[in-house]
Amino acid sequence: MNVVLKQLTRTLAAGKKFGENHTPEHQLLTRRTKYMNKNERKEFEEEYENLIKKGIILREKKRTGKNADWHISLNNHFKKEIEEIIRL
Amino acid sequence: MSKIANKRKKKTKGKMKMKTEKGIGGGVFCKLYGDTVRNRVLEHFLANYETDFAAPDVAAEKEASKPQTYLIIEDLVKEGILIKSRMVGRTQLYKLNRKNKMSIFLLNNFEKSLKTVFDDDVKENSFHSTGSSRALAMSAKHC
Repeated sequence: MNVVLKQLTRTLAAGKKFGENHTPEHQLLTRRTKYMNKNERKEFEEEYENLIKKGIILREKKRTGKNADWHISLNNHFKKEIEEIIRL
Repeated sequence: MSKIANKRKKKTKGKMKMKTEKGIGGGVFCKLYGDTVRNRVLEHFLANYETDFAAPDVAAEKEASKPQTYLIIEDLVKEGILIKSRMVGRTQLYKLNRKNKMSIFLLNNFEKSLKTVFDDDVKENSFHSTGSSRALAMSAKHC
């Protein structure tokens, strides 16, 4: 698994972002993929989409002050799998 | 209202306040060791110990001010917990120093604090400070 994805899930878990306790997605990802190469970024995006398809990361559009933004959080039902991903 | 106050009000009417995205703020590590800016910065580097980050990105994610994070990172570099990893253009990136004993100690503590998020048995086995002594006394009486 991609290292940056592990870190992303680790930060979400440390911040207890499960279920309805969500955060905006855009800035979170840009901060982590700023200094990456093209190949690394492709790998990260592919694995990120895989996690969303599996349902480990929940991604929904939420209404904010301006319009609507994509927000992400971790799924409560996949706690064991998240724990395996996060291992230090 | 005075004329000056009215003028000030008129000037600020047309300005739109730019809303910035919220970060994550303090997590489990901060709940255990105190929700200070220093602990938030530490928590960020402990959670992401494999890669390096710039100070403004850390400040934005942890909902802290940039000057304060710069000062804290400088202190942590002096203590040896963080190191300067590389320069990208004119920005300096920082990383956790995994050879330092203090940083290893903090990593172990962070790992243990993360486990509390997943352990559902912690609530059942935890003793409340007010009831634990009473419970023990009651059980001792019955025995």
